[in-house]
Parts: sequence; structure tokens; C-alpha cells
Amino acid sequence: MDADQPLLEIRDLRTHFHIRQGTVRAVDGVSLSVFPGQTLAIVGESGCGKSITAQSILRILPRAGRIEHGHIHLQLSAGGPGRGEIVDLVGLNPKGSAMREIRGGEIGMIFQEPMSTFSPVYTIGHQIAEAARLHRTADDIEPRELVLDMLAHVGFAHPDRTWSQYPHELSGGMRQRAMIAMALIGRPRILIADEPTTALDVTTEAQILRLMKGLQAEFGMAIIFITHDLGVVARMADQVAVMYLGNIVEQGDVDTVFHAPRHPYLKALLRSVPRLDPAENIGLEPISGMVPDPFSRPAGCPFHPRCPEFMPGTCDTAVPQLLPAVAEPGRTRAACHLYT
Amino acid sequence: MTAQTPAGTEATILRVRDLRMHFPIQKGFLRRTVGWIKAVDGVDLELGRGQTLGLVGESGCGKTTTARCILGGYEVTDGEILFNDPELGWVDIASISKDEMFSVRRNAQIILQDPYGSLNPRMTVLDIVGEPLLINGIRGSEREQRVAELLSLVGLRPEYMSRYPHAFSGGQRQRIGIARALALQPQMVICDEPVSALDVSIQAQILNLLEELQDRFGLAYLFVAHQLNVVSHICDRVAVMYVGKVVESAPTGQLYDRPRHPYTEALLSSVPRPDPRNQADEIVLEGEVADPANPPSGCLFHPRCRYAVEQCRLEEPELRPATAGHFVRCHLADDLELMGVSAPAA
Repeated sequence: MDADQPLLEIRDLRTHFHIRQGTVRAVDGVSLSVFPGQTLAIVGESGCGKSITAQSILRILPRAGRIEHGHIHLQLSAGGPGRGEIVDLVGLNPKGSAMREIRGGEIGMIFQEPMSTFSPVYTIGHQIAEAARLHRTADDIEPRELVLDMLAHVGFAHPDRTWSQYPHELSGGMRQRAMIAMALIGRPRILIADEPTTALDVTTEAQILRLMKGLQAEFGMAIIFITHDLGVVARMADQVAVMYLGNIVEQGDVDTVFHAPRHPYLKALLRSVPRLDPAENIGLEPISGMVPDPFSRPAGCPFHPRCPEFMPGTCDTAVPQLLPAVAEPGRTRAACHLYT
Repeated sequence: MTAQTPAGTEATILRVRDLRMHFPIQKGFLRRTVGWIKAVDGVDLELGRGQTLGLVGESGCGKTTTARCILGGYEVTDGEILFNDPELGWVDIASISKDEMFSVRRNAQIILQDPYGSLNPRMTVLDIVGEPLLINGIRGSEREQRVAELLSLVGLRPEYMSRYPHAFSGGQRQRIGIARALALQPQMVICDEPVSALDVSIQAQILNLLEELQDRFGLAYLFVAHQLNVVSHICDRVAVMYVGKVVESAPTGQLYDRPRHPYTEALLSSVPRPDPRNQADEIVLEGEVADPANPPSGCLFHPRCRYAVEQCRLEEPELRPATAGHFVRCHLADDLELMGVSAPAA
């Protein structure tokens, strides 16, 4: 596998929701690349479009949502039925067999709320074995063996006991582990994690984050980590994309994003997070105003009404592009007129 | 926690002593009590006027139950909740009469976590913020006048008074909740996870507003939260709870720099920090939080503690002073050299 070749490449993705009150441009021109074995964090506040981006990749959008434009190129695994071909997920039928193969087989997904992943009326073992039967047909091993092995990998001390337990019998952290086991049973090369630790306590969160890092090192999968928590981004990510109102406003490697941010939104976001060390806590500088209503998106740069460096005549007329066009080391790509 | 302030001085507004709140576990047709969930089982707190005391811990540790007990929400099992009421003087909320509670409620208010669930969708902002005024006999245009003042105080436009909660964003709703809490000019406000449901840019606005209001009115806050960075920012003192007990309490700087309880150390090291160059070497706790219905012997934390010795399994530690103003419930507090937040990352 070529590490320079992206596994997944999103080009100018636009996902819009057509509802009674009008059209919401939830994702409006997002381009991203995911490389083998790397973690890409997509970070932003509620309503920025980070979850819709993930749902667009897996083609599991709510009924009102439609991909209006763009490509999502996925390189299929060489050993699988796709034989290393590149497919455009936008062109596939969301309910078709090709997409079903990809979900769970090529791309696994975990969510914030494990109870929505598991059915309450079947045992954990039964449900994960079902996923194993769908995606591990080439293996000679019994699904039960595969499942017990995976449960041990994600940290269950007694996998055979867990096999026959129901989801409600597990604690929040343990359910999250079971969900990770189910997502990884098909050995996907990409794992999409949508706020996987948001509902957990901080010590449980630390356990799950460490587990995900360990499993990534072991299985070599790429992770798309969707979160609103800048602390989690700093701990987990290799690459970071910051979203605001359906656009990526800044993108770069994790160190540069935190230490040389360029977009006023990201700078302001970093100044508004309270620090853990009381000695570092001077004053919080909140971002004025709030995220605009999705039906009345500002013209030009979507951040301009809240931006401290707003330039009248420029920011409210033209939409800024992510620049430089090609990533340079030690520099982030920012969509801001200050840098054009 | 009475070391730094002698009993009865005016500087203290709330003093909780050995609070216990046990809930019965009932089973069967006759609802026989088969056991007790010790949700709160030994909480000592002291809150000074104009000060902010953080009460932190993970879900199920009893921090919200403690807050509810303080506002008279439960008949407590044991312990004292002494409140320094400006009209009544010191009263024990754990054994108070209804009339006295009416006065206490004027002076002790609460801000809740969920800005959606805590406002009645069928009431206008005027009715929501004005309800405490109505109960205390303030009506008509005087009430409207007062609500308008309250709204501008929390950064909302008074014209919005006749709107319903659905017309407001999460941050604005939290401002409405704050206006309601301040309507009767209380001395103490319990903030139960007031910013947990908000986005970070809005969270900073609300934290700054709470600080401004504290400076202006000399409010005392009991700040219940699980976000340790928020607590670090806003609190003067912090008490850490684990399975119903306060395990450590100290001035914020001391607690974060030099924690003395292994649980506090693990908790602080677990917080992901927004800086890839400064990630603590996190101490991952094994296993799960103890069950408050079936707690382990000795120190409740010993099955997960990496420093535990034989004594920890056998004897339950007491909350005792380690240094002035720094209390800790650990047998080994004097022997351990624990890692704080400013220690260089290993």
C-alpha cells in the first residue's frame, strides 16, 4: 500500500438539506484527504457540518439530505472484491450491495451513543457475529472465534461472558468498547469516529482514547475523528480540519494548527478554551455573537459578522478559498482574505 | 473544613458537615428495602461569601445529589447543611421548617445544566424570569420593570420579554436561566453544570457573565461540574468527590499543582489538553467506579489505586488536613509525591 496515496479523497463535497423552511447548505464545498494509518480530526462547533460530512461518506444521510456536488473517492482494498479499484461513493446507490460491502468492510463507524448502534433485544455476541458473517466471509474461522478474539482486543477480560450479555448490562465505557469491536470486526481500513467519547467521563474517555490509539497501531487503520473538543484533537490527531458553517476554514498538521493558527476563527476558538493549569488561566476571550441561523448564511466569508479582523468590502463580498492551494510544511491552509 | 474560618463568622455562607443521603433499594411486591444506595456518604464543604467552590467528580459520584440536598430537595439521611441566611442567621437546611425554607429559597438559587429542559416551553420569558417575583408578591408593571432590568443584566434585550424559549439559542436560554436565578437577589447560587451543554465559544461568554455578576453582587457560587478546565478557570476552591465522598478539597491552585489524592491525580492527568506539545502522561485507571450500593472495603478507591497498600483495603481513611486549607481522604497522603498539571509532561 502506498502511504502517499490517499485512501479516501473528498473533492468539493456539497451536501444540502431541502426542508420546508428552505435549503440548508450543511456541507458546502469540503475537500479532504485521508491517508493510511493516519488520524484526521474534523473539529467544529454544533451545526458546522462535521457529522454530515461523515454521514455523506457512508451515504447514511437523513432523508432530507442530498449530495448536490462533489466526489468521494475511496480506494478499495486490494484483497477484497473491489481489487484495489478506486470508486466514487457519490455514484453508488446508498442501499445497494456495493455500499453495504463498503460500510463495515472498508469503512467502520462508531458513534457517541452506543445504544443506537446495538439492538437491545440481542446479545452483544450475536450482533457482532452478524457483522463478522457479513464481512469476514473469506476467513475459515468460526465467527464466534473472531468475535471473542476481537472482544479480548478491545479490553474485555472475559469475552465469553460478554458474548452472552445484553447491551444494557454493560457500563457506558464498556458499551463503547463493544461498539469499537463491532466496527472493527470487518477489519476496515478507515474508522469514522463521531464524538465517540463525548458522553463519557474523563477517566473513561482516557481509556477509550488510549484503546483507539493502540488498535490503530495494531491494525494500521486510518481514523476520521469528529469532535468539538480541542483537547481530544490535540491528543489524537495527525491532521486537523477546522469547520465553520459547512466550510473548512483551516487545515494542517496538528502541531501547526495549535501553534501557528492563522484563521481568526481558530485563533478565537483557542483563546476561548479554559486551560487546565490555573496558572495559565488569565481571561477568556469569548467569540462575540453566535453561529448564524443556517437559513440566513452571511454573504462572503461565513465568519465575517463575528470576526475581529473583518475588512468591509472584501470579507462580506467574496468567499475566501483555502490557501495555499498545495499544503506546505510548517504552514496551515486557511480560508481567509487576510492571506490572499 | 473549618480550619481557616472559625465557626459563625460572617465570611462563610454555607457549611456542610458530614452530609449523608442514602436511597433505599426496594424489591418485590411489598417493596421491602433490601439495601441502600449511598449516593452521598460523607460530604464536608465550606463556601465563603463572594467565593466560588467547585464540586467535581464523574457521573454518579453524588455531586448533583449534594446540590439538591443543599436546596432542600431531599430529606437527608444524616448531617448538617448550615446556611447563613441574611434574615434568619444560621439555619440547618437538613431540619428546617417550611416557613424558614421559604426565606432560604430567596437567598439560595440554582442554575441548571440543560437550557432546553429547564425552561417551560409554554411560558414567556416574562413569566419564567418573573415567576419568583410573583411568588414574593411583586406584580404588574413593577414586575415587568424588574424583569427588563434582569434581562439587560444578563445581556438579553428587554424587548424579548414576551417571546417563548424556543425562539432562543442554547446560550441565550442559559442567560434566561441565570436571570431567573438572580431575580430575588440571592446570596448564593448553585450552578449545576451550567456550561456543559454549550459550545466552547458560547461557554466562554457564559463563564465571563457569571464572573461579572459575582463581582457586581458578591454572589457565592457552588459550581458543580465535571469539566476540570472550566473549574480551574472559575473556582477559588475545589472539592473532588468519588462515590459519595469528598476525597480531597483545597484552594484551586494547590489542588491542580500538588494534588494529594491518587484519584485527583488520575483525574487531572486524564483531561486532554488543547496543546499537542503538552499532553500529560495520562494515568489510565483500571476497572470501573465502585458501586455505591455495594462499596468495596476500606478506601473506596483502593481497587483502582496504583499506590494501594494493605491498609487501604482494610481501613477507611478519614478526611484530614494535609496542609492549611488542604484536606485529603487518603492513608498515604503524606508519603506520596503526586503529579500535578504543571509538572513537565513525561
